[in-house]
Amino acid sequence: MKFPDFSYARPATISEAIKLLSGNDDARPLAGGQSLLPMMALRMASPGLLVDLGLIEELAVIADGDATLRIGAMVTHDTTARSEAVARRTPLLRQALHHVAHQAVRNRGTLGGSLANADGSAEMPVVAVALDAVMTLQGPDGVRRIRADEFFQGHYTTAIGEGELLTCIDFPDSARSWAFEEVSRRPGDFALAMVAAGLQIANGKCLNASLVIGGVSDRPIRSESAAAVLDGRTLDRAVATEAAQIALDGVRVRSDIHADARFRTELAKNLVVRALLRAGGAND
Amino acid sequence: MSGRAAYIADLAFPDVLHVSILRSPFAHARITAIDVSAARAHGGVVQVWTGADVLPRCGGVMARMELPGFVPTVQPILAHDIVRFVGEAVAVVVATSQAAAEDALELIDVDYDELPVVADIASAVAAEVIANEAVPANLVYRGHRCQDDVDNDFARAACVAQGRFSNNRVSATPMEPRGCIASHEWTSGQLTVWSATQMPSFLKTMLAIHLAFPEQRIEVITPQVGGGFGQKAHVHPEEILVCLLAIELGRPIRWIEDRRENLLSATHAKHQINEMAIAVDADGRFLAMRNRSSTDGGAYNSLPWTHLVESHVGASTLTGPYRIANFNDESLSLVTNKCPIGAYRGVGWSAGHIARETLIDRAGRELGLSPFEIRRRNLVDQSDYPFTTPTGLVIREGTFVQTLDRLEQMVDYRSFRERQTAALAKGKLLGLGLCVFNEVSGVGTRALSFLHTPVTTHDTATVRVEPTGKITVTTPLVAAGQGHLTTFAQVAADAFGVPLDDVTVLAGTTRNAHGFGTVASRGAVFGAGTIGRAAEAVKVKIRQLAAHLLQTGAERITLSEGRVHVTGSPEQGMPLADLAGAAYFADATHPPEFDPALEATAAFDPADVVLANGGHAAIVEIDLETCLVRVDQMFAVEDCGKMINPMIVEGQIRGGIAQAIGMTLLEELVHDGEGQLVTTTLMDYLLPTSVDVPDVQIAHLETPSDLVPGGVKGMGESAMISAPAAIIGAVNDALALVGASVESFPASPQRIFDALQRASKVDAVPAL
Repeated sequence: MKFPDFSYARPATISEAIKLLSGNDDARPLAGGQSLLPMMALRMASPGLLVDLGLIEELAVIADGDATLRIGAMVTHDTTARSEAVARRTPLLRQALHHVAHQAVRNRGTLGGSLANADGSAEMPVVAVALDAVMTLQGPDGVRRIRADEFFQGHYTTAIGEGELLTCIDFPDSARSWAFEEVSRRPGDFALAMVAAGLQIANGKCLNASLVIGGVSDRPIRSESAAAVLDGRTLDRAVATEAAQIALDGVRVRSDIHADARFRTELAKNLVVRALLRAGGAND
Repeated sequence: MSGRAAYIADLAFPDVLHVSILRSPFAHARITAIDVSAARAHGGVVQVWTGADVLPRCGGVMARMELPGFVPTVQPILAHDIVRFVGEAVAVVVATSQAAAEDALELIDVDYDELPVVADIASAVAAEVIANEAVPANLVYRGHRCQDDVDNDFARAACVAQGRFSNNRVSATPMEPRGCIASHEWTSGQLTVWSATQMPSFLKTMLAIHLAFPEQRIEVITPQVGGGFGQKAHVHPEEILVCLLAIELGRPIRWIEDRRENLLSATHAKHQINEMAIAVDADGRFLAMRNRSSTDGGAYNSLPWTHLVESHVGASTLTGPYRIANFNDESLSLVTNKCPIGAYRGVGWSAGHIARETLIDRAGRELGLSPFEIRRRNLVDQSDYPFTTPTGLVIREGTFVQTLDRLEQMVDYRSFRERQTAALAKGKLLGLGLCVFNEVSGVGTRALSFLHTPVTTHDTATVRVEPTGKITVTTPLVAAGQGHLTTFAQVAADAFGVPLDDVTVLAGTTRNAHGFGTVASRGAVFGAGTIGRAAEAVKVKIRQLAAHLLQTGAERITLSEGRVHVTGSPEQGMPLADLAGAAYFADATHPPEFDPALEATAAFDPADVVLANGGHAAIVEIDLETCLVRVDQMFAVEDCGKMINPMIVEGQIRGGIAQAIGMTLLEELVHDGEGQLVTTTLMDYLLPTSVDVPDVQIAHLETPSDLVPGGVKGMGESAMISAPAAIIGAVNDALALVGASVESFPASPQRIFDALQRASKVDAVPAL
């Protein structure tokens, strides 16, 4: 299939990009093109103007800063996966990247593109929420920063406003030990369910647990009540299972041709147990 | 690998026009209006046609089978009045670029009145709604291969195993989708058609009939083809459409299908329900089999296979290589509002084999017999030959028991059961499945007659010894990645005793010899048969001339090592090149009445069914937490007679097993209740990848065929006939540990989950 007609611009700076994007409903930023271009080829999307961000160098930088690890929106998954700073400071991100599609897609796909696309079954939004990432949005009215928790608003829906561009993502250092678990039909497919679990162990007791579940809803689900179950407890399979049982309470779990809500719920719960045990170093 | 092979999309033509086809978004609807004016006005558009434009030029694809009671259908080239499946062609845009054609397609405005839909076998049988008004009661054909009285057998059986097996609708999904380019030269009246087809000669004849065009002025050229697997062994409406446009517009017309179009509208396959039961006595001996098989055949019959390619053909070998005295079956070929069903590797056999082997395992479990033992007690053995199956297949040869023994060794059955028990203690379900099969291979007239799909087929080949002793072979058979040019060259080189390099095989145009096609495990058999027979005819002349020159009898002449010589005395002779030179250029050397044409054309069609055989075993592991099935090990035993090229045979086995894994665990064309296809990309239609397919352990047995020169048998379909049954058998062996089973496929995580919810022995898994 061929693309529908569109105009194409390749600005060299963020401000030029924002100028092209503002006031034009029909304009879309183009990052790695791994979601948008297939949609265009299938003629399910037909933006009038593509603003290719590929020339904007400052978007493609990983900054190993004092307070946070800052990843530019145009850094490719492959670059992220190979980054020493990412491996050191956000090992969860690196773990999750193994599940992102295939090498050919990771060579082109970008962190910012994946987050801005906000597919409910994609890995990067789950990681961003789990690690309390902060998104920097730049638009005609200036720069604002927004927490990942508030950034994802639904399937393919984010807090990015008209004319705004996601420019970089800050990952604060995490004291937690993290594990990522995912099930998909084949390696590289979108997840049927996935879980990021993080916790600290002090004197054999579990502290400060965090659980984020993806692929079950239109956005990453943070389960605070399940995390609270673990507080001060000795982590074992029984405790992890207790947490898992309530992890999706109140969530309307989605169904599709690969997994109905009931199966998906059970799958996610099993992954919660696996992820918690692995994060806690509990050998099963 | 050079990367230089030219597939149809690589062919460049000046002045070519591109085609884009508007396809129905509804499974069943009346077209009340089509407005193409905006599309016609779009830049770059040369022509827009609807059904009304095509109908006077061609009434549609006519598909019938000469059986009493068979209901033929005609699939319009472009729908007129009514669309009958999602993806049916409604209109076509011809433009100077593909993009312009696709842009214009979006400007066509069609008004549809939706009609009630026949979306599955149950509603087809109920026939309250009719999917295609040409087919009363939605029934294309009701078949009965055997009507034995089996009631007594079932009444006295110690064990009756039965089930209702729903096989999934799948696509052959060749990596290269379909494509066709046609060029009509009005000055010479020549129509040249490049098509990614498995049946170029058949396509040529069908184009002549459907276009009312003189056949001698049609040439079908087959470039490199990127996989066919049966899907490209049909005459597709698009091929006729492209030719009509080429004749109308006088410019080359190019249609290259995209993946979505392929999944929507290229023939689907394997969609059957089998309600099967087997009666077994207390010693584990099979008494009888009963089966009712229904095919969800889609809206039209495909040309040439029709709906009969599934359940009806499947019934012919349902009892397989087992001694089953009594068989009672019915097969229903039903129309539904879906894409037509067609041939796909293993055709109607895959689904029935899954049902049969699953039931054999169940009976074995009930009677306390190992899966090997229960099969061993029932397999046709050497002492039974000739053995006539209930459907009339005469088994004269085959290595069924040896296959089973070899599989048991390869699997190491005893240690597998130990591993299975140990794994269960850790919460993992391991399972072993197997299937023993015979394959109706090298399918010619007799085989098609046995399958109750009466079609006469033969192929021809021409073999010429050139003046310098080199060999030129022309064949109508084409390859889609199977390496046939190599195997055919081997056949010719062996026949003349010359090096492989001395042979050139010309294939890929209907200017060569005539044939039926590279389908139904025919390539090796018909290649060996036609080339072997034509070579023999040429060798008669060579022996005649050599005998004259060497002053001996023709029966004492041998061709070997590039020489023609007296048998047993290589020095008493001459190089083949010298002899050929004498035939062409030295009249004085010829014996009286010698016809010097060192060239012969010969036809071949086996005198009986060429029966190959073999077996497969699979070991799978089911993760109880994720419900994912992983195929850990695959084993194949193949007896395809004399192998021309073992590497190619093993490639066929491995490729077929990959497809079997896809069909049983991953692939499913999912339709909703309105007949809407929801799996239209390879993101949703899940093909197996390299990580889903384990290494395959292969063993060979060899029972040469006396029906085919060289003793070869066909084997291209074997893995898709039998490996699916082994894989599903393994899944059900694993599930049996907890008292569960699956009868709907693929065995996806969802279906494993559902099966586990119904499990009767969940306590078998120790609490972790």
